[in-house]
Amino acid sequence: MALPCEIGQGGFSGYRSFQLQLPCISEKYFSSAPYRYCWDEDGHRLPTTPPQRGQFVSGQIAANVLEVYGERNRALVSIPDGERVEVDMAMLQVRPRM
Amino acid sequence: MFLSDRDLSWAIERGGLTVEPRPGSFEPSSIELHLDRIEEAKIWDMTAINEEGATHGLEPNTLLIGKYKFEKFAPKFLKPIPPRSSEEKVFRKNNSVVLKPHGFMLWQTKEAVGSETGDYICFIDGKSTKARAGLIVHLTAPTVYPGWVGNLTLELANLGPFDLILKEDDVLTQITVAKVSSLPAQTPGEAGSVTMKQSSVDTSGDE
Repeated sequence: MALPCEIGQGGFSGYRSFQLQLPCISEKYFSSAPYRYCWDEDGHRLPTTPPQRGQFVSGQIAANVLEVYGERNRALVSIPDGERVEVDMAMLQVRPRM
Repeated sequence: MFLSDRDLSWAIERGGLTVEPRPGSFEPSSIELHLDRIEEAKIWDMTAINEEGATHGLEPNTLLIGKYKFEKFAPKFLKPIPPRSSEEKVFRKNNSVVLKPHGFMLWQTKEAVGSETGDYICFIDGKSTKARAGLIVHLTAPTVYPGWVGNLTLELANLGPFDLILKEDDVLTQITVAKVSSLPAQTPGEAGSVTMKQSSVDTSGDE
């Protein structure tokens, strides 16, 4: 699966930072991951040139569903920075091709 | 069991092992990796870190290492290697980086490596000849876990007496690869910690 996010420059060219709006917090979750786990909002591979520092574009980040909480309409997913986060089920999208 | 040169080639051919760009040659039981472009050599921006740390009441040059997470820090606080200045232990000189004794820096490998399918586990290793000059290329974390693929971030430190000159395409490191006994039940992300309320990047690492 994949999650909609905002994608920006990572620490290295092989990485992109991403911001996720999670239901549990008001501020956005911020982290980074190898760019192969990120896509643009149409599901295409990202351009090799990242956005300028501080700029973010709409995109998607890979996610694996670990658990579904049907009663709350939420899911626990793992994301490529090694963390697990709880998201609204409505956020989940079909993962584009790697 | 570690893969031989023939098995490394076969694993890449079959798609279970990713090494991009593909290696031109193989060592008997390893694949040499290259330093990426000089723009991929980075140091921590201590000025920016201290500015943000001060907003959290931290003393200059301090880090709450237990809460620090590289993935959150790197996009904000890594900067390219600056040109020479008298107090720097790492500086750029034309198309080279000079790593002086006790200097520390990060540099991405040109190759993205790993096993998307989870069939293989990779280990970063240094080169003994380079180590004897005092160069360390990774600190404590040699493992590329099954299911993860990406450019490797080398932690370069100089413990020797020389000013080391580093350039793009230098071969300072290699990976060895082993077959995983069965597919892991968890992906690297599934084994990670649960983050429910992490917000923006901050140097205190407060969650």
